[in-house]
Amino acid sequence: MKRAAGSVAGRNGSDSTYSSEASGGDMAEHLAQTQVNRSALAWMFVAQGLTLLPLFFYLPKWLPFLWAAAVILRVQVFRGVWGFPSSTVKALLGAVGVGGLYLSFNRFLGIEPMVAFLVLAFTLKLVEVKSRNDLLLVLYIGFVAIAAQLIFNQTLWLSFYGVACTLVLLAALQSLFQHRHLRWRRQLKHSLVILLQAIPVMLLLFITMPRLGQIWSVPLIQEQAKMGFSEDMSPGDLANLARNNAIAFRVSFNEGDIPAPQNRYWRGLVLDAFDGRKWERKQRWYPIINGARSSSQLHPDWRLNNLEPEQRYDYSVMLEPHGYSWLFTLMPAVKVESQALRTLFTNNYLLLATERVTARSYYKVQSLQRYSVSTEQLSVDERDVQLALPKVGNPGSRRLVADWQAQNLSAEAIVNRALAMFGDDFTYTLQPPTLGVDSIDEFLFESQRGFCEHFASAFTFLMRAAGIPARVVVGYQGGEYKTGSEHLVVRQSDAHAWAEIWLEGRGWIRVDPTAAVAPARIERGFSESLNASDSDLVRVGADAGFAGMWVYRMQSRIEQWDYLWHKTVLSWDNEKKSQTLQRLLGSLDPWRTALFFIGSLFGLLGLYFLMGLALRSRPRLALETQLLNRAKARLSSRGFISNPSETPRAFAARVKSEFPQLGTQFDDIVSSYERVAYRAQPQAIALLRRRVAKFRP
Amino acid sequence: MDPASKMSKPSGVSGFFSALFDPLFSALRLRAEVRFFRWVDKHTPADNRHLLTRKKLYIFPSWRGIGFIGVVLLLWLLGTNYQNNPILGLSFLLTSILVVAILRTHANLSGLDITYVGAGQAHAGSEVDFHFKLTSSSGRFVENLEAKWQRSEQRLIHIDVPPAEMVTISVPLFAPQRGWLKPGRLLLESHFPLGILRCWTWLVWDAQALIYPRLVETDKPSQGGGEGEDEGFHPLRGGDDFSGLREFRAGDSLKHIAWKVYARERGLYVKEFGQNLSRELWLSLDLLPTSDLEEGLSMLSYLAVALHREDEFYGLRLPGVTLAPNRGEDHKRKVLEHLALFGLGDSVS
Repeated sequence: MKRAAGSVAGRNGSDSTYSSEASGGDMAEHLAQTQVNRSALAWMFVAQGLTLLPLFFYLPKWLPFLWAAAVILRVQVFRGVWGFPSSTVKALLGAVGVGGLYLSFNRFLGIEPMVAFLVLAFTLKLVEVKSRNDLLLVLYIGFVAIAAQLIFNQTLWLSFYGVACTLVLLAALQSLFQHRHLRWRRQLKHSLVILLQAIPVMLLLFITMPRLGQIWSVPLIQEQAKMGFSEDMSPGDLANLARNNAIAFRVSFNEGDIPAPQNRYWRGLVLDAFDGRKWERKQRWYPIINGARSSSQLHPDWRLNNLEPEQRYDYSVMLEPHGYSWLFTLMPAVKVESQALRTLFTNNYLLLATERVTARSYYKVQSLQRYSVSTEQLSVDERDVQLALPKVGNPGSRRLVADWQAQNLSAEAIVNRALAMFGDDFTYTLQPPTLGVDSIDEFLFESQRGFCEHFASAFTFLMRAAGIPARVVVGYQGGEYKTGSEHLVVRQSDAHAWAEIWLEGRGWIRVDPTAAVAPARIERGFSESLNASDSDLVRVGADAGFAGMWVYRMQSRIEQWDYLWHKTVLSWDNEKKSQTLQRLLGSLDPWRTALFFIGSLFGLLGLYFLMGLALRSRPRLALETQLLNRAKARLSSRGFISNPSETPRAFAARVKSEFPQLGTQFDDIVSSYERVAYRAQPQAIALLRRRVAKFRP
Repeated sequence: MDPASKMSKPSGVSGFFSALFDPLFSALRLRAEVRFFRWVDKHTPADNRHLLTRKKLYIFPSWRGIGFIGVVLLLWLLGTNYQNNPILGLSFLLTSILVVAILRTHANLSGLDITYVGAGQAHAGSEVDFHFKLTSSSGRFVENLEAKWQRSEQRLIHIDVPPAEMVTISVPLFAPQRGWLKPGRLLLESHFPLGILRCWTWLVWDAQALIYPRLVETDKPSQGGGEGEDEGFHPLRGGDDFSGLREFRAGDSLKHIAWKVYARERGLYVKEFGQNLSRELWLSLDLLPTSDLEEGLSMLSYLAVALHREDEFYGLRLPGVTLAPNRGEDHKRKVLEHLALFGLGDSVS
């Protein structure tokens, strides 16, 4: 539709043939509630759907259906098919919803029921949205729903998604306060401009605002899917994990050395009780936690006053939530710091969190490079625990050990005999045959094929049978070093089991029987150590062909971004803030920070103001007017300047009187211009464009 | 209309506190308002054209904006308690959006050019429209303005001014009495784009509207005595056109009795009917069945409008004013203007 310059649009758009957008206003009574129009309602549905979508994954499965029903109900109300539900119906819906939540959770406290309650309120409010203020309330709840998403999941992608939701919520908000109707793309564009202008200010706030500690304690996520190995180990458990490419944790080394690949043993759990098939913990958790030491001081067992950088490994672990309370460290951790977790040392030199890990957590560890533990005699009780075996079962293995003992071998010699036996005849494979009742015997003498848990289990059994205190340790071994961002990525497929034995005079030492079978597993990592048929099972890396390679690279890039996101944004704290400000401003004086903040803020706002001025200086003309002006500009080079009071037609006549040919050409341009501008023939724009292009006076 | 009157009386403790503090608050508010408007009047003198600039625009969070700030605080608390940087980031993002919205809301009104065009015609007791031309000198689309007079409850909403276009708006104001009506301050406000901020301006106009007297229905006076008989045409009795009233005489048809006049206890009159195609009538206070000046003027206005509608010739005779009988729009306006200003000390322009 033509938008003529200077047209007068009458009140209530009575003259609106001239302009599609001008509006002289409508009358409203003082307390009139603005009714909700169609586009605002549509925006609300979209915004609400987007903000709720990630939450549905964490909440009872019937909530999405409730939401869909509410949308349908509201649409039918809008179409006039149904009336607004009565207050009895609404109360009933609310009661059913709350009852459903109670049935689903069996409790009301905790973060999941609370978020579910928010979602329920959000959904039911939809049904009774009548006025602009109702809609506004829904949109405000939308912002809180984004925060709820971020409680459950703080990855880079979900954070981006949160920003996208904010964008849509802004568009919805804007459509409420805009009278003219915009196409959805333009509406989004308008909101995007606001969002983009807000982001630099947000970064400024993010950098300069101090972080406070928890003001009061809040319920944490309780239902976290368990990841990684469980509290006990049976044959086949870790082999299942080998197919899992998810990241278990990431480690960055702050200063000093990085352990060589064959020394990267991340201890998680010590299993010291064997029932003939399964290894598990002797003690329940409670006494373990009760007897544990706080990890914020240097561990007293090591009698250290301070740690030189060359004596220690100094590293930070970013642990993915695994739903258990154990944490991973290099042996032996002597000091641990963490903001989010309360950590303890157990008497096995393991690190434990007091709560189960339900969110990505960050902890800084110092471990000794060289150590020896429990070099003195073990206590009788502990010796009994570490030697305990079932009374019966696995007679073959016991005979083998008796054989070795009969040869009067030393403890070291027995260890070497066992490792040599593994190295000679055994195969390291992901697809071991299933084992029966006497699992150790079957493995040692029949199948001779196994994964790390088979070797660790059999080795520990043999040692105990030989009277050498021994235990199984479960954790991760290795890790892929990312040179770009200088950190190690440890995946679930790196899950590993090995043994620790106690030798007189040397204390507890680590022995990894898998290293005797498949040295490549330990030195070059899990995926390198597999034969062809095993590789097909796990399909990682280069073996998977070009497409697989590309996917692998893409995945590794994404993981790297996610890691950077966590390192820079998620773990941002006052310390990092101070470091950044120190780097930016030279010192940490409060006045410098204040000046930086105020200066940048007003600088940015001034910039936006100037951008607004720059935009105002050139109002956009209609396309046909631009084309006509171009033709006029070309005429002006021949000395023809049109008067402001002159119509294009009169101007053309004036040109024609001096240069008939030129005038005729220009006249044609004017007539096609008039067709577009005044005769509502928009298709003539193509003709106008051609004529102007050819017009070369 | 008044929201306060709908509310039930507060009781108990809150009632006690509101009884204690409400007068205090309203007194404080009144004081603040008086000072604010004194300041406004000093800084924006009356004019018939206003360009909205920084000096004339005021901006503050709306109630919705205060709710928005509440959401920001809630998110900040959540982020702090969960030690969750993305949530803190979201709360900072919303804070920045609030800051950017200040600029955007201000920019929406800034550069708007408002010119007073004129006022419509109205009788006391109804609304008079004041017309303004709006153009956007900033080259921006000025979105969703609202306008209202300070003294009025009527609000004009949904005003959109595209760039390089002119929009005419008519803002109504209730006219309580005849004479010149000065409209007072015009409120122009906008919540665009996000509704969380309110940008507004108070504009004082060098404008006034002439309000004609209220219309009070009456019967046409009989052209009994006076000069009317000399100058006008004598009506021929017995026609269909109503020509006037005369006193009841025995023998007159009951059908012609002016019952309305009788009901007002002004005596028994008979309607006379004539047949002339053009007559002249004189509108004069002393012909009316009232002695109250305002009521009389109102009745004369009614008669003038009625006669104008019937396209009759009529003249006006007021103490000190005589308008010769005439007809037409211009004549009606003149007559009504004299009626509007009679006795008020203002002269007709």
